[in-house]
Order: sequence, then structure tokens, then C-alpha cells
Amino acid sequence: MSTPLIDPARLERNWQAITVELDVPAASRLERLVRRLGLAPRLTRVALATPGLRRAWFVAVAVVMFVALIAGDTATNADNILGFLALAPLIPVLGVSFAYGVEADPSHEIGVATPMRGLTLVLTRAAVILIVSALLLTFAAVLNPAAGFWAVAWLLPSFALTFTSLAVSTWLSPRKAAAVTTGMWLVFLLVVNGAASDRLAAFTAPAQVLYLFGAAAAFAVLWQRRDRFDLLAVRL
Amino acid sequence: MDEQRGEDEALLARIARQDRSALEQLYRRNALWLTQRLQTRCSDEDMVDIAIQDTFVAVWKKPGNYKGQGAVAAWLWGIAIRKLIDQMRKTRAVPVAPDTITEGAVSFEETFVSSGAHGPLPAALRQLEPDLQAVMVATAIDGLSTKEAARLLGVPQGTVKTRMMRARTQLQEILT
Amino acid sequence: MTATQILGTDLVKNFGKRPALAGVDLAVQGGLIAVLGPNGAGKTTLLRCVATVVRPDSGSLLIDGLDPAHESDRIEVRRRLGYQPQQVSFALSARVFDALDYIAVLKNIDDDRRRRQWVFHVLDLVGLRDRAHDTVGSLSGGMKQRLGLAQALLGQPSLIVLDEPAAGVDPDERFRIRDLVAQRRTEATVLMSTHLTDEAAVCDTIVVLDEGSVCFVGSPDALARAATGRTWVQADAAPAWARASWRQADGRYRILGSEPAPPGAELVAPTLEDGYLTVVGAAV
Repeated sequence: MSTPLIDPARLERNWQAITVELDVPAASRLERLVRRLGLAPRLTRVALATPGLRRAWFVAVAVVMFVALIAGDTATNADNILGFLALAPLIPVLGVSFAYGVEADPSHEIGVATPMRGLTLVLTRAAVILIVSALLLTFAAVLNPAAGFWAVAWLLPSFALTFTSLAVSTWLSPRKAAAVTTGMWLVFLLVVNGAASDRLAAFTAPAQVLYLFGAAAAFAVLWQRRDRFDLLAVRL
Repeated sequence: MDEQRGEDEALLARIARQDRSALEQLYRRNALWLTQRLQTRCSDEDMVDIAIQDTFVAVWKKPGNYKGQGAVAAWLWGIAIRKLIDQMRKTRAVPVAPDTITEGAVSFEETFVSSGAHGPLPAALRQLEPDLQAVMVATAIDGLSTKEAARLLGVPQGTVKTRMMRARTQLQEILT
Repeated sequence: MTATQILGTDLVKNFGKRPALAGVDLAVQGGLIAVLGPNGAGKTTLLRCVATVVRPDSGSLLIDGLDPAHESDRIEVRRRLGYQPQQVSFALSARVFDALDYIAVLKNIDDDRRRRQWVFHVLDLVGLRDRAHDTVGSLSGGMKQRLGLAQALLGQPSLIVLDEPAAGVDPDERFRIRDLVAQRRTEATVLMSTHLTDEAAVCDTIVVLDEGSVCFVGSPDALARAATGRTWVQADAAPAWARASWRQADGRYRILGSEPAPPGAELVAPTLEDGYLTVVGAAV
């Protein structure tokens, strides 16, 4: 066993592998940024593959951040704060609706035919969108000198609405599902506002518990119907 | 040997000018012995392959790190063994049994590299206990720090240090 | 490697009231298989069923004994599958390398280095390695089709399903793609749809699909023989009974039909196209 025998084909394979390493294009700036946050390269790919998060989403984020900045304290500016709390949970809903499906992903049909589960794909992107939304909006709200409980009161509703929208998208297209969810949310807020004297009744502690259960229920439906993300939704 | 060294240095100069064919020539000249020698340090072929690939990628990116001290081959080996250690650290691989390392390594040094340069050292090394041989190969022949040797051999740093001291004592007895 | 077997029994798929598949029976294994048929015959739907992205309304489909209706079987089939849909598309702004790397992630090639090797390997296969840094949008139509083929080859699939892989490209690209596809026949079962008889002619097996049903399965020679004794050439235009007829380059008329020989007509050896038109009964 002096010197190990090395197959010449192995040396050739290694040379080919070296040329690949030299030819691989450098990661884009956005990708490097996301990887620095600790996401594995392959998950970064999954998260950023759809050009989904488009201008519409960034405009929406900017608008809601602006609302967060100008909203005052709860005593004097209940309307502004209500506006922020009503809009902020819709940001991830909008983002997620741009992030998957035939409309958003040009490689959707190829992706469906791969062993990667559709639900895994959808949830990975939803997680990235939820985290980015939460960071941006909370940051804006906290910058407001009058920041109070409302700076974070939208988080649970946003989870509930995002999962609801995903669950609805097992019946409808992602964009229709987002529209339906938005409608349901606005109607819900109108009803609560009509019934309660507190302008912010929909965001008090008991309501937050409701959102937690809502998110769990929506996730249960999503899990039950996860097969839908593994098939092509063909409408001829 | 000197001629070989001159050619390798000329190739490095061309690599510095982004000449891909020079890298290929450098690879063709050195890949076989590097792979063989790495394989004596680690039995996992995949990890050795990755170390070899990383070595030449590193050469391509920073050919200027060779400062002209010693043979290009020795410089390549220094990169390669450290790339292998990087792999072993990532995958927490089980290192090769010490006697496998030393058997392969010592006979390899005799055949390819030392060729008299180390005098009677390899023969003396072989008289050491296997554990001590492995430590001496890693530190004296591969030129690794105790930390790196500890990673390569999969033992704590302290163990490497005590084994080095024991090996030194034994070698003194053997050589005198 | 054993060739992947596709076994379909009475497959039905409706879209609204329109049947796309009206009871397809199919048993093929190995080599290069063409699904040939006119537009709207159900080729895409059949391929989508085999590629497990569409579930038939009824009937049974087994791929190597695995039933895509069950989640675990479906995932196992997808591990062995390479699929190029009809509308091959990648984000135009994506770089060629990134587009393929994404698909390789979806194909569970998790190790970053191995994935890079695979991407460049398939780019080498389809001759696009030097375009790895360019955006998908900068590629010609033929190159985009080759890119679509490349992603299907990631991970060494044993079943390759290609929906019109050479549709809408220049003739030289078409020959190139046809060659690339034909090279796969030794390592995988390749199921390819086409509406061109000359593409089907180079396949081992032809499945002719018309109006949602299979009307022929066999070799290209056997398909040509379907028109034996029914292919005529004469100087005049076609008689009323002709199944199909058209004017040839030499100015005479080629006639397909089963009636007794028309006066003055010459019985000729049928081509693949004659056989195809005979089995689908298309009127020209």
C-alpha cells in the first residue's frame, strides 16, 4: 500500500470541475446580501427565483411605511393608526401573491414536475416576505416618536391573513386569493368598528388571540390541501 | 528538479496573466502526485477531490501568493493540505487510521519528494509508534501547525503537542 | 439501466365539457417515443399526465409501477423525471446559469458544488456553456429551446418528457435539437410530442394521437405500412372518395384512400406521412 493508485479519469473529472468553478458567474448583489443573513445558497435561490417582489410590492411597502411614520399617538390620531394597522397586514399578502404560481413564476410548470414539494417552495418564499415586511414596517413604526403597542399589533393579523390567502389559493389563483382575503379583512374591520366603541377594537388582546387561532386554522387548511401546490392548475 | 521548478514558475507567471491553458498545464504536471499524497492523509475520495479542485481555484485566483521561496510543488502542497483540512472540518470526517497515513506518507516521501533531502529521517520515523509517526508526518513533513495537525488527525491540540514531545525524545534515542 | 415503463389505461381528462383525453391506452418502454398528432389532439395533456403535473380524471397511469396519484409515488417519479413543457420559460432577466441552478435546486441537487457541476454539464451537452453569464432574454429562440432541454437533463433522469422540443425554431436548430434528443435514447426513456412526421421518423416508436385517443402505436415503418395499397399517384386532381390528396412537386396528385384503384392511377409505396394521414383520417 505505498502510493494509492489514481484513476486518470478521476484527474480529468477534477480538471473539468476546476473549469466549472472558474466559469461560475458571481452571485448577484441581492443574493450575496441574503446569503449574508445566513440563508443557504440553495434556499436563497428558491427565495429569489421569482422576480415576484415587483415594483407594486415595493410601492405598497413604501406607502405603508409612510403611514406608519406620520401616525401619531393613539389618543389623538386613532384614524391614522387604524389606517396603518389595516394596511400593514396586507403587505405580506400582496407580496406572497406575487411570489408563486403560473402568473408569477415563468418556470412554474417545470418546478411542479420536480420532487421539491410545492408547499415547501411557497412557504419558503412566504417566510422571506413575512420577515422582510415585518422588519421594514416595524422599523418605520418604531421611528415614529409616538410608537406604541400598534407598532407590532399588525404582526399576528398579517400571519393570519397570509396563511388565509395561501389557503384560499388552493382553490383560486394566488392573485384572486389575495383579492378575496383583502376583501374579507376590510369587511371584518368595518363590522368590528361598527359594533365596538373603541376605534382599535380589532387589535386588542382578545382580537390578537383570535388572529393566532385564525392563522393556525388557515395553516391547517393549507396543510390539508397541500397537494394542490404539486399539480398544475390548468384552465383551458 | 531545478528545471521542473523553473517550468512551474513560468506557468505561474502566465496564470497571473489569466492564461487558462497555463493553469491546465500546471494541473497536468502536479495533480497526480498531489492527489496521491492527499489520499494518504484522508481516505475519502470526494474530500480529496474537492481539496484538489479548491487548490487550483486558489492558485488561479492568487498566483501571486507564491513568493518564490522553495519549490512551487511545496507551495501547492501547503495549499492542498490546508484545503483538505477545511473539508475535514466542514464534514467532521473520520480521519484515516494513523498507521495508514504514515505508511503511505513515509513511503511516498521516500519515493517522490525527499529523495535524500531529509537524510535518514523517514527510516527513523518508521521506527516510531504509529500515533507518533502520524504527528511527525503532519508537522514536520506537511508543515502544519499543531492546530491544523489536530484537525487532520482528529485529536485535541494538547494530544498533538504531547505526542510531538514524545516523538522528539524517541527520535533522539533512535538517531544517536 | 432498465428503461422506464409507461402504462396508461383508459386515461380520461376533460377541461370543462371538452375532452382532452378520451380514453387513452398506452404501453411503452424504452427508447425514443414520439407522440404524433394534429394540434388539439391531446398531446400536451397526455405528456402532462405522464410528467405528473396533471392528474387524469379517470383511468390508471403507472410509471415503472408507480402511481402518480399517490404523493410518495409521485415524488419518486419526479426524482427520475426530466420535463420540458411546451412553453419553456425562464425569467428573461435571469442569467442562464442562475435559471438552471434554480431548477437544479428544485431537483434536490442540494450540494452547491455538485449543482454547479450539473449545470455546466448540461450546458456543455446543449452547447450553451459560453452563454452561462448571459441573460435568458439575450438567447435566440433555438437557444431558449435548448436551454429548456438542458434543464430537463439535470440529474440524469431515466424518463424524459419533452413537449414539442423543436417547435418554432430555424431548420438548423431543429436538426440540432433533434440530434440532442436522439442521443438521450440510450440512457432514458424519452417521450416527445411533435406534429411533424419527419421528427417522428427518427424515433423508435410512434404513438399517433387524434381527438384524445390513440389510433396507432408502432415503429415508423409500421406506420408507413398502414397506407400500403391505399396510396396512389395520378395526373388529375383527387376524386371525391379520397381520404386525402395533395399536389406533389412533380405536378401529379397523391391520393390516399381505400376504394378500388382509380383509372390511370399508379399504386406507389407509402411514406410515413401517408401512413400517418391514413390512421388519423385527416382531410387536406
